[in-house]
Formats: sequence, structure tokens, C-alpha cells
Amino acid sequence: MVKESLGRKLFLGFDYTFMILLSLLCMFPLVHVLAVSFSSNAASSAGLVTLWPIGFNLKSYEFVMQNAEFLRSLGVSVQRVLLGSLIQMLLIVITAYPLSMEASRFRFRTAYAWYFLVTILFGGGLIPTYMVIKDLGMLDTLWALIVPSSVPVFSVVLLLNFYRGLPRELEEAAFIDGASLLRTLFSIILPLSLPAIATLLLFSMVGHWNAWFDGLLYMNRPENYPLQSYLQTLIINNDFKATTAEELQMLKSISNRSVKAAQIFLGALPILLVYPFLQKYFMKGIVLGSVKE
Amino acid sequence: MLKKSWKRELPLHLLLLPAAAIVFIFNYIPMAGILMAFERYIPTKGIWGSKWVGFDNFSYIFSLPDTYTVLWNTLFIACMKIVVGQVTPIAVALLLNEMRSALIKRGVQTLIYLPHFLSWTILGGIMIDILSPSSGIVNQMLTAIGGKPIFFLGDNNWFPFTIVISNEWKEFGFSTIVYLAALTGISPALYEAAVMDGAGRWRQTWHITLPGMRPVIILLVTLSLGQVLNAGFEQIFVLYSPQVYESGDIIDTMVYRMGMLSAQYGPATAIGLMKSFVSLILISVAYFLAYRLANYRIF
Amino acid sequence: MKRFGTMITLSSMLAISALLPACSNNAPSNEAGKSSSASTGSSESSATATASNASSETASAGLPAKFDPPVEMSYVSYQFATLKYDKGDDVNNNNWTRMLKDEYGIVAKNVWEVPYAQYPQKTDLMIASGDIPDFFLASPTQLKQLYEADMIEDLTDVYNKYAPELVRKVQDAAGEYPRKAATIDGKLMGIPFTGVLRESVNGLWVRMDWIKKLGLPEPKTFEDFMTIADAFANKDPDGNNKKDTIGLGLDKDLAMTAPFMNMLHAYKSIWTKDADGKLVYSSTQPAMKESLIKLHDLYEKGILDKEFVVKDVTKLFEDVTANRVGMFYSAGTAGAYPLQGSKDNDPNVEWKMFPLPAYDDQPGKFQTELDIFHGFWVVKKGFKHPEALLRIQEQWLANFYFNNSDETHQKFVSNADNDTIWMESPAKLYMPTRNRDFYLLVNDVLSGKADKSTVPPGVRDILGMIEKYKAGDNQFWGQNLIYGEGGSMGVADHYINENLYVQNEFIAAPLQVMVDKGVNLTKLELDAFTKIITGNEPIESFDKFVTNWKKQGGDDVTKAINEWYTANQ
Repeated sequence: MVKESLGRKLFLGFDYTFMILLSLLCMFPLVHVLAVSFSSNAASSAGLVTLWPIGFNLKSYEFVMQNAEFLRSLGVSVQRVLLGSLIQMLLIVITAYPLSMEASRFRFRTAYAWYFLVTILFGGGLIPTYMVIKDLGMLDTLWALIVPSSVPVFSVVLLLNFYRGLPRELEEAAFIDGASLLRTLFSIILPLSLPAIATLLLFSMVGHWNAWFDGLLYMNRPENYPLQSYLQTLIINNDFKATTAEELQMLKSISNRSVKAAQIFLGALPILLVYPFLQKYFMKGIVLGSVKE
Repeated sequence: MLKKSWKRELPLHLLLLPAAAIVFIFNYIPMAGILMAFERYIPTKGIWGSKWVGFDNFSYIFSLPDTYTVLWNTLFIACMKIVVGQVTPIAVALLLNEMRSALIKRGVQTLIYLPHFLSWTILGGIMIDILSPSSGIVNQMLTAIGGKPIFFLGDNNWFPFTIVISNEWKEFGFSTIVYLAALTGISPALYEAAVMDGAGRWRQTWHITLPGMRPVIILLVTLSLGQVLNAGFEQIFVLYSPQVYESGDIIDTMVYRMGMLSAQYGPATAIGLMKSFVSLILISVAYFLAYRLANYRIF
Repeated sequence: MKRFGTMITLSSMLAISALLPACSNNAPSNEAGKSSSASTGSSESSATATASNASSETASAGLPAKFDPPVEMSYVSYQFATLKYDKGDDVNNNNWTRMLKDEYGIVAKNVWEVPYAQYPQKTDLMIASGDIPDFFLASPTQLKQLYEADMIEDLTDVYNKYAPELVRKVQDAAGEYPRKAATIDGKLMGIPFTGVLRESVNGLWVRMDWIKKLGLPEPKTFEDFMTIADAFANKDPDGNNKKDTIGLGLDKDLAMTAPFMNMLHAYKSIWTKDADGKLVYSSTQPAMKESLIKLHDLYEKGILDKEFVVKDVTKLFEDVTANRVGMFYSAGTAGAYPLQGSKDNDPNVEWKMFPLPAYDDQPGKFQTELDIFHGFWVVKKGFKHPEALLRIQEQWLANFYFNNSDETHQKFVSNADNDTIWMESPAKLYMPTRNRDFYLLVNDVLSGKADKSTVPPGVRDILGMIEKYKAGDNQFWGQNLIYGEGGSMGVADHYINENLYVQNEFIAAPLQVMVDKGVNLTKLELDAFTKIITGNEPIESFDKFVTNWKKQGGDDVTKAINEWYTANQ
């Protein structure tokens, strides 16, 4: 054990205090949202709720979950996250590998790299993308939510940089042993990249779980909405001008604030559950443990 | 010889084929939509049938009397966001790395990620409350230590900084994750060697940790250069007001207000295209500089 | 990864920009208001009440009683909140669709439905893909584009020949302007979705318990108004010894300044006729300067919230609900939201809506826009039976408005389990003065002039709520505030009867020059007005604003609008 200097102790004291304060600061809005989601309509729409519910009730959650649609769209979301993340991860993993090679090994890598990168920068916008998806007959299918976004270039670029950081000797040793390209990738490179994979998987899942706009756009039937799109339909627009007695009644029965809060919390919840689990992969230096052996 | 390298590279092409095809279909084909930047686009007429107006949409944007103020606001806010957006997560990742208690470390890591899940509509409402000059907690603390209340959201001198800092509050946890993953890639052997040489924590950080993170830092900085004209629409739209148009109106909010009259596909696409070109140039410059000076390919 | 997606940003930008209802740029006329208000006075409301079984009575001469073989009509729709369906039902199989199919041979086929916020954008995508349904609701801009692309049917003859009595009645009640706005080159290209703007006047809501507590008069004149505003802000009406109350609530986008300006005979951001019959922009007129002086005065005296410049309407309503606000302008329906929340938070609170206090011997008139909801119902070019749309609309009116039977009400409007059945109707029109009519009927019953059994089920529902409120259930306080004795719709009734409106004379889709210059001109105006109100600029800078406005495109816009006006008279 290295003896700790006074400076080090002071530093650690500062470090812990500062980080904990920072965490509290970051926790504040979500705790607030949680409190609002459990509060009465009157209190939350008056902005009286800070960190503790006023007029505690479960109405917003009941409202959000009351319909069969909730479970159905939850099902769509689960499918989307599982299938979508799986496809994304697979494509990221196999795409990043050739791109991580030196130009001497793969002459076209740079051309490909730019081919992919350009799509981060340039896009045709909503209308032509919609047309392509429509012409492919993907409207109203899960594929419309999964396939168009299945190559997240940012993640590919990140992973190819991680691949590069791995010791090349391992890969070469595998080749000498006569292992195929795919085997090298999946049995040598991949296990070494788990921290990076875990990070990208998290991004992928968060992205799929929280996306709502494409659901409203590409799904014609509400029964095909993923959860977040469905939750959007529960929120009445603020500009909404109540026009009939019936609409007024509806507006009154729904507490926008609390429902919105419940929606946000439900949106963050699964990720909060998955995150600690994924965390262990990028907290430990798995990479190096296996290299040293 | 040529044949041999083809044969050797064929599997690599095959590996790239699925992604390349998907990107071609869902990104390259829709790029036909870029033509809208040169058209008076009308949905009923479509991309091929709308009237071709050349560079009219571009000259229109630059003919607006306050385009330059707006452009300046965008650049100023976006650049600050880029700098702060890289420095903060690196610092936080390093500070987290120094922590020994795995429990606290994980807890902190999870908690700082939380604001990312909240939309600006929600955070905006919260910010108006906590930054209120009369009743907000921030100003109450300011006055308690003898300061004068500051109208963070209503004062043109403060507005851009309020935007940058609050944006960082929302997003730094997210970027920190990438840097933390990068940290795990550094070999403990390097640290062991450094300890043998008698290097303290500061020197280890400086000579091992930071260089170890360098590829990821360079990559993220380069990619963030592409954001130099994106000051963050959603956030500013929620927080700005006529009172701070002077310092807070950005390109995207201006385009949004154009769309309020009727959907402005032409000018909006033209602005998007300009942003893309600026990003392409900056990223290319960074890429080639890194390659020429450090013989390092960023991607 | 949002941070790295240029494309995503752009597309979502377009998304949001396309999402705004086109209602922001339209306007009816004086004559229209006059004629319609005369025909929809209180006498009409009793007609409303008695027109039961309207479906059989109103079969119009030309409209076939039942399409045989059935006509299939595809359409797209929006919803305000998730629809609840009875068991086994869905969007293409419910009480409405079954009735249309079984009784009239119309098979309505929904292609898609989205939340209202996404409707403008999704229809734009649909139009862009060239694949429009047999009928749908199009915005004014879309109407113009569809007409120019020859994608929709001319409905002139269809309407003249087939329009059922109920549809005509509601269209006529809305005045001639909605139909004028739907007419291009002399052809009626869409059926206006008539709106409820006139009964939605933004009256002055006042905290009556504070009035009593401080011994203040009711706001009859402008002087009363100023006295009350000052006392509400500076005399500690909530009695907590802190200056934390707001005399008059405003929002950062200055939307709520319009009724204040109307009180002073100034009008915000609309096109009005001047003495020579030309259209002029109201925000640049001399009366505007006067209202800005008065608003600055309110700001200086601490009557306005000094922080209003960063608060939007939602945020202001938060203050209202938290009972910090003494007065604000809003429609009569504010009784339900946000005011019900205010009562929930403090049972001692009392609110009342007043007409605009008189500034001089002339009553203030409300500015108002073209009275349509979202746009116009259009029929796809080549569709064989455009008249079927009129039948759907007639059935909507017959079952939603002109109905006295409880059974029909529960089948087609709302019942105990499902209050969203009415939303399932494939096409709708709003009765322009329905809330006002309900108010009159409710008060007829309350004062004993009418019997509860003779009024429509919707009115009976409200009467039931008012009874519950009177029995002590504050949950229905807001309904009483709208429809009960002295309710806010009574104020609307006053304005409708006296026709106290100044209408935006520009009722077409935005002209190209407005689109080009509009962004900058609006910004110029909001910026100048905000600075004058908060005192960052002296009042003299109003003249500078007018000059700049003209120079930076206002003159061009004025010219184009007057050309349009002459051409469309």
C-alpha cells in the first residue's frame, strides 16, 4: 500500500465532496419529476411541488397504464429495444472491424470510413426518408423503427477506435493459427472490447427506448406505437384550445403536468434498471486482465 | 499480386456490405432531398416537380437584416458548448477514476446521467423557477453572500452563459460514459511501471491517463466540431424570449419562426445544407491535420 | 447521440415548424359577424334544443337516403388524447362507423390517426408522397397547394345541390368568411371546419375575493381597472406581508397584451380597414403607442410581474393556479383550466370574468381571426361521391349538437365509461356558439324559464354538475363559473349580441411576401414592444419601430395584401 500524502487526502476529500454534490444537483430534476408525478393536479400545475409529492396519489400512473394500449405498446417497445439493439450491435461490431485496419491491410478502409461519416453530416430530411420507407412497404411494421437507424455511425467510429487500441499481436497470433476473420473478430477481438460494447449497447438501448417521433411518423395504427409514442398521445398540447364542453371535461380529467412527469419517469426507469448492470463492464479493466494471461 | 490482395480483402468488403447497403438506402437515397435547398419546395409538386430557384434560398437567408447577429449568437453559444462539452466530461471522468469506493463511484456515475432523460420542456420550467431573480434558490444564495440578484434568463449579458452551463448540466453525464470506457482501455501495467519510477498521481494522470484517452478525446473533439452551427434548438426555444433575442436568437429558432407562417422546406434545407458543409470542412481539416502532423487517422 | 446528428436536428426542426396550426393567420369580417350573430341569438338556442331526431327531418333533397352499393371513403384523422373504444371496437368499427354504414351506406376507412400536434406534418408527408385519401382536413396553405396541383374536387355544385340543412345552418352561423376563405377562383374547394372563436373572447378574469377584501369596485371603467391592478399588486391582497402578488398577468410572447390593447382600441398584429377602405397593419397605428405607454406604466408601478418576459402562458397559468395573480385575460373556458386548479388549491378563491373595462364612451372590441378550426375538409379529385362527406358532417351535427335523446348522447357523444366517443366521428364541424347556447339554456332552466327535460343531454350533464357544485362539491366549481349564473359565457353572449369584434381582414393562406418578410417583421415588433414595456427603450422608439417595420418589408407586405384584398372583394 502506498502511503497517502496529506495533499492526496485533501484531494480525495475534495473529490468525494464535489462529486457527491454534483450528483445531488443532477438528481434534483428527476426527483422533482417523480414528486410531481405523484402529486395532485392542482399542486403540480401550480408549481408548488419541489422534492416531495403534495396530495399524494397514483392517478397519473393509473391514467398512463389504464388501457390495454399501455401493455401493447410496452410490448412493441420491448421488441424494438431487443431486436433493434441486437441488430445495431451486430452491425456496429462487424462494420467497425474492417474500418479499424490499417490502410496497408485494407486499401479501401478510408474510402469506406468517409462513406459512412458523410451520413452523419448530410441528410435529405424527413420527406425523402419517409418516401423511401413507404416505398419499401415498411410503414406500420417494426422494421421502420429498426432498420433505418440500424447503422449508428457515431458508435461505429467510436468502436473502431477502441479496436485499434487493442494489442495487434493477439489478432496476428490468431491469424497464424489459421483462424478465420470472423472467428478472430468474435472470439478474440470482441471479448476484449466489452467495455466499449457495453457503452454502445447502453446508447443503443436508450436511443431505441426513448425514440417516439419515428413511431408517430411511420406507424399508421396506434396499436403499432412503441411505448414512448403512445405516451405522447396522452399529453394534450398546451396550445390546445378547449372548444366543446366534452373537450373541457377531458382537459379537466387529465392532469397534464403529472401525467407528463409519470411519462418521463417511466421513460427513464428501464434504463435506470439496466444501467447498473452494464456498468460493471466498463468499470473493470476486463481488457487487460485477459491480455496479461 | 493485385488479384491476391483482392482475394485477401474480399471478406472485409463482405463484412461492410450490410451496413454500406443500409446506409445507401436510408441515407444516400434520401439525400435527393437536398435538392429542396435549391427549390421553392411545395409538397404537392414533390422534389422533382417544385420550382428550381438556384441559390435564392441561400441569398434569402443572408438578406434578412439580422442574419449576422443570429449567426454570431449561434457560433458563440455553439463554440462555448463545444469547449465546455469536452472539458467537463474529461474532468469528471478523471475525478471519478480517482475514487476508490466502487459503490460511490457507480452511484455518482448513474446519478449524473439522469438529467439526460429529461426534455428541455421540463428542465426549462424548473430553470425558470430556480433562476428567478425574486424567488429562485440561486439568486437567494447570491444575495445571501452579498451579491445582487441576476436575471439569468432575461439579461442579454447572462443568457448565453446560462444556456451553456445548463446544457452541460443536462448532458455531461452522457459524455462522461464514453471517457470512462476509454479509461478502462489503459493498461494497468503502464501505471505499475510509473509507480516503480516513483511517479505520483498527478504525473500518472498527466503522462499515462490523458495520453491513453487521447484517441477518444481527439475523436470526440473532431466530431463535435461538426456542431459549430448547432447551438441547440430545443433548449433555446424553451428558454429564450423576445427580451433576449439580441443574445439568444439562433439560426434554428429563426428557421422555426419561418415555419410558423408556413412550412419553409426550401430555406430550412438550405440552412441545413450550409451547416453540413461547414461541418464537413471543419471535420476534414481536423482529420487531415491529425493525419499529417501525427500520422494518426481519427476514423 | 443526438448531439452528433445534423440530419436529425434538421428534420426535427421541420417537424416542429410544420406542426403549427395554420389558424394563426386568418380572419373573419364585421358583416359576417353581424349577420351570423343575429341568426344565432338566444332564439336559436331553443331551436337547438327542440331539433331532436334531426337525422330524419333534415334529409336534404338531393342527398341519397342511402348509398347502395355502399360508398367506401378513406380518410385520415387526428386525436386530442388516446381514444377509448368499447370492447371489440376500433377506429374502423364503432358506433359512428356502424351507423354511417348501416343507415347511409357510407363505409369510412381510416388510413391513419395521429396526435393533433403531428397532424400538420403527417398530412404534409402524405401530400408529398402523392397519396391522399378520399377526404381529409387540410390547412389553408395545403388547400391552396392541393388546388394548384389539381388534387381536390371543386365542391361548389356539390355543396349547393346536396348540403343538408344542418350543415348549411352551421356554415351560415359561422358567417360568410370561412366559406370565402375556402373559395379559390370562385370555386369552393373545401368545407370550412367552423370554429368557436367568437364565443372564446378573452375577457378579464378578476379575483373577486381580493376585490371584497380590499373593498374595491368591480372593473367597469379603465380607472377602476388601474385601481384594482395597483391594489392587487401593492396592497398585499393575500395578506402575507410580502409583495409577491401580480396585478395583471402577461406572457413573454405578449399574446395576452392583445385584450389590453383592444380595451384601448388598439389591435395587435392584424390587418384592419382604414378610413379609405385600405388594409393597414394594426401594430403600427398610433393607438398602439398609447397602449404601450400604459403597459409601461403598469410595469413601472410593479403591477406586472417583472419576470413576465421569461414566462410563457403555461408558466403564467402556474402562477394563476398558485393564486399569485389578481387579473388576467383568457377565454371563458379558463374556468375549467387553469382556474379550477386555483380553487382546488384554495377553496376561498373566487373568480369572475368581466367584459373589457371601458376606456372611453366606446366599448372595447375584441380582435378576432378567421373562425375556422385548423382548416377545410377537402375531397380527393375524382372521388365519385363527394356528397357523402356532407352526410357524415350532417350526422355529426345531428348526433353531437342537435340531439335531445339521452340514448343517442350515450351512443355517440359520451357515457359514464367513455367520454371520448364523440371523437370517433370521421368528420366534424363545430357549432360556432355552442358553449354560449349551453349557457343560455342552463340559465333558462336555473331561472325556471325552461324545464330540464326539454334541454339537450349535454346541457343536462352541465346542470348536473352545477347541482353538485351547489351541494358543496368544489370539483364542479369551474363548470359553474363557465355556464352557471353570471358565468363567463354570459360575457361572450354580450359580445356576440352586440357584435363587438374587430376582425382580421386578411383571411387567406400567407402570401409569399409575408412568408419572406414575416420572420423579421414579427421579431422586430416583439423586440420593440418588449423593450418599450420594460423601459429598456423610451416610448419614442415606437416611431423608429414603425419606420423600420415599413422599410424592412412592411410596405411590400401592405402592398401585396391590398392587392389580394382588391382582387378578392
